[in-house]
Amino acid sequence: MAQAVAAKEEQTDRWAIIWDWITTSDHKKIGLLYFWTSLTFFFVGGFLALGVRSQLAVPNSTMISPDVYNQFFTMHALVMIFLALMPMSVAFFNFIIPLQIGARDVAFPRLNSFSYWVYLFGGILLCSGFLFGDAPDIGWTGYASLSSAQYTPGASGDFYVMGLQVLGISTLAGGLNFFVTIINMRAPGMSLMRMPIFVWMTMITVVLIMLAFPTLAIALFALMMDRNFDTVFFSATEGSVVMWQHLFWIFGHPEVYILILPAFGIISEVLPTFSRKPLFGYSFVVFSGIAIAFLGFGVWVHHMFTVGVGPIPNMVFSTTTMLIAIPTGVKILNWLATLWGGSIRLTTAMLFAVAFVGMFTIGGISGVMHAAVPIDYWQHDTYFVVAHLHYVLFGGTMFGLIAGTYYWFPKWYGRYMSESLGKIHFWLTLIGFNLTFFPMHFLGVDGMPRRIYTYPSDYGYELWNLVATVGAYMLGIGMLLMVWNLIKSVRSGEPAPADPWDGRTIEWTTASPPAKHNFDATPQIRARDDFWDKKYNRTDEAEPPADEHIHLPPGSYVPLLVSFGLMLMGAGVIFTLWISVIGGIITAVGLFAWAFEPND
Amino acid sequence: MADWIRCKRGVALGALVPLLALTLAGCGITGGEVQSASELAGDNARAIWNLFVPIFWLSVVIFVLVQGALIWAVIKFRRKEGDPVPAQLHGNTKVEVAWTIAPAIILAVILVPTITTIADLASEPDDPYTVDVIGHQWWWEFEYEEDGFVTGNVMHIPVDTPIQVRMTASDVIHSFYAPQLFGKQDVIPGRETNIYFTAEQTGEFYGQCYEFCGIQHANMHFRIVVHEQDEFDDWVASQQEGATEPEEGTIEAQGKEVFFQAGAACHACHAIDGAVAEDGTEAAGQVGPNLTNIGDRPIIGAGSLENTPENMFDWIRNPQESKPGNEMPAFSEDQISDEDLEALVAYLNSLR
Repeated sequence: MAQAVAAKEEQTDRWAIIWDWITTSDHKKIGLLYFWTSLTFFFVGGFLALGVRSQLAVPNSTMISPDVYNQFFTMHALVMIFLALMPMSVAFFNFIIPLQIGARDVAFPRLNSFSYWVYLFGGILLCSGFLFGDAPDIGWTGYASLSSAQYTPGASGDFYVMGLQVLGISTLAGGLNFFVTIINMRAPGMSLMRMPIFVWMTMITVVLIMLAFPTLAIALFALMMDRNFDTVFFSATEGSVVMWQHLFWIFGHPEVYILILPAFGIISEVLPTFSRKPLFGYSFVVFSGIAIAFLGFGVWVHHMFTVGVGPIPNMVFSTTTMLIAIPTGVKILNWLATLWGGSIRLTTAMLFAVAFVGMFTIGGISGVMHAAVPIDYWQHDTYFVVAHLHYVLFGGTMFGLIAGTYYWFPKWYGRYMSESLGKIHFWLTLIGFNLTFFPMHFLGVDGMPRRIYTYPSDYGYELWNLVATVGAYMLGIGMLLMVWNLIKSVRSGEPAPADPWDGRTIEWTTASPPAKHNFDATPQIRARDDFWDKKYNRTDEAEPPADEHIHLPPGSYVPLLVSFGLMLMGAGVIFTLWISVIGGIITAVGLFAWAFEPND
Repeated sequence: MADWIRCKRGVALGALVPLLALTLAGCGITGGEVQSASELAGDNARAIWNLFVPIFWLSVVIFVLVQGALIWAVIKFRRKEGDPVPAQLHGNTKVEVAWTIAPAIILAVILVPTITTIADLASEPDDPYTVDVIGHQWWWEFEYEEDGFVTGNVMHIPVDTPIQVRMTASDVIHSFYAPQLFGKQDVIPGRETNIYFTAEQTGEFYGQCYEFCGIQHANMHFRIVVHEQDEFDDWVASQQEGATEPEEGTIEAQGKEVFFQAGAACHACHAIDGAVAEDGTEAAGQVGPNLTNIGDRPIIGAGSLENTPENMFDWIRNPQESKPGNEMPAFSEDQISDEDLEALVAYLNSLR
């Protein structure tokens, strides 16, 4: 009897914990939700990538049918971009930004929770196409007129449109939230030019999000109308098929910077910490970040050089594209100069950060090659571009995010990740990555098109495809090791102190993991790299007294409800419209409850 | 653990060496293949390659400098036991201005030939020979308007003559690219796009669609056969003559009947110029490729198969086998018997 009662209590306990996570508005918990969810989706995308690589290992392979292959490569890109890399960056925004600016939470905690749930439900909606054997198969770029109801009948195109539309709401809400948070909630004394570089890069990223995502929303809305309600926005005869490409890339190119800038920020924290030197040329790095964001809106046609927009536009966009290489090059040189003369400690985080510089440089160089338009007439839509984009998004973004994971994990869980496992993970990843993607440059030179499910045997594509496939499996094993390391370290990692790496920024002043209210006393900022300055230059400074009144946002289930309603609204367009009506009602009721929820 | 850390310097170098080895191997093995952009046979492709080569070597220099500095810094400035805190250097404006200007100059140097090459490739030559290209899911139609005939998947052109490829698509966006001859250009429904080039040597060149266009994007190959002018004139003349009429009583004549008979009804989708059935039906279908010279083409199904009688037999029996999802239906033995199909293959093979 007593046992049964105990078991029941434990069960209520478990439900209480689950309920707490579902209704949480604590930025740290939401950050961890983002992290684990995006990591899960990363493995979904990775599985699809291995499917693609397995099919291409040998010529004339019939392992995967062309129909399924097209779903695999399309969903690989969508999952990696929208469900893995971007949300993993947001995981870092969530956990780290309030701590780095000395805030208790983000500006709009319930909106933050809403962003997460919309992301989760949007991701499920996008991926559920697989359940119906009809996942998007039109490429992540969804070019008209292939994406029209005429050439892609059935639900696959609608999963694409509605999945991305719902996800965009999450991203926009998150962007707005972090913009307001960074502008309004910095600790006293933290002027803009004293902000940690990760905060700067986040702020630039969210500005890009707020400006770029509405364009995607409009393009998707028009495509939804074309597919479902017989409008002709992207029709070849009454509308324009090229208009889709303009709209898509006006979003799509800033999106590239949305993906890479957070990683720039992360390694700009990791490199100085493990070199025991400040970032070289802080203001140059900040302003080159701003320049990249600004120019990022003026280069979209470089995705369309072969469309035939005319020689003059091609010349103009070639020029702007080369211009954007300048601030990018400046950053690389500043990172090198940060290492130079430092006292370098090669932790796993540092290894990934250093490798980021090397790998991203390769992606940058090949990017300048296709900026030269005539070379793009050759390289466009060949494996050369596949190599380029993976050097940027994996060798760049993903290496940066992994560096950030090893770096901030002690802050998340109060434990270190295993360094010995970490190093095996690093070398497997670095070597596997280069084996996979470097040979794709050669395939591009030999004219192998991207997005083909098979290739003939007499084109000389066999060797490098096989090498790439072997590399991809190595990369997969490396990433599985990381998961093992994460799980093992959460449970039984070596305990970490508040400041495990001799850090420079104020997130390292608070406990690991931080208390729910982050800081006992609101930090007072006197310098850039304030914590380092305090440790090494202002050693006689007294600790300020703890704050007397600490206000923390309460939990709420309403964001979850509204998110669920939004997913149903999207699903209704795919299946049958009455689902949209139910979703609309749930959303409306949820928003009403949100508005009148007591807030104390 | 300590041993492991010490050996890492070796490993750091060890990582660069395979990468370099891989690069060299790539340079050795890449090129010389049928669809390689490095095997030049056209002025347009040559202009692209000439722009690429200096940019490539510049890239190699930058690559070696950056990666070298990175690895050197990591090895040289590794923390040793008892190292003091390094000088807290925040930056150096002069250095930073210098390395902002340096890449700007390098890029300006690249930009000049880039812009002139864009202009060169876009300029229309005087009096070019024009071939119209229409992209279909998933095959290519080539229309010789001046000379009044149509063919599919294999384009013939004369050597050393400026060619205008004038393109549009009937359904979705495709992209036309034969790497040895010219740079690619998208083929867009509702629009006209052009490629100008001159083939510099005779031979057969490979190309395919480079813009994802649906389930059979992978099997949308084409060939360009470059002839000497007199050989080309002969080819044009044979096209204008239309199909060879098979002699009565031969297996080819039987095949021609099969082409029109109810079970096959090939003429509903395919045209053969000059082929007329006994009842006067013309082979004038517009859905699939024109088959007037099919026996002459090296490929079937836009490069799904080599053109051999056995492959043609299998293709007609079930095109969904080698090119799943394409528009051509399978034909069962009830529709075309094995014997009839052999005759049909013989007839198609005779169309040269």
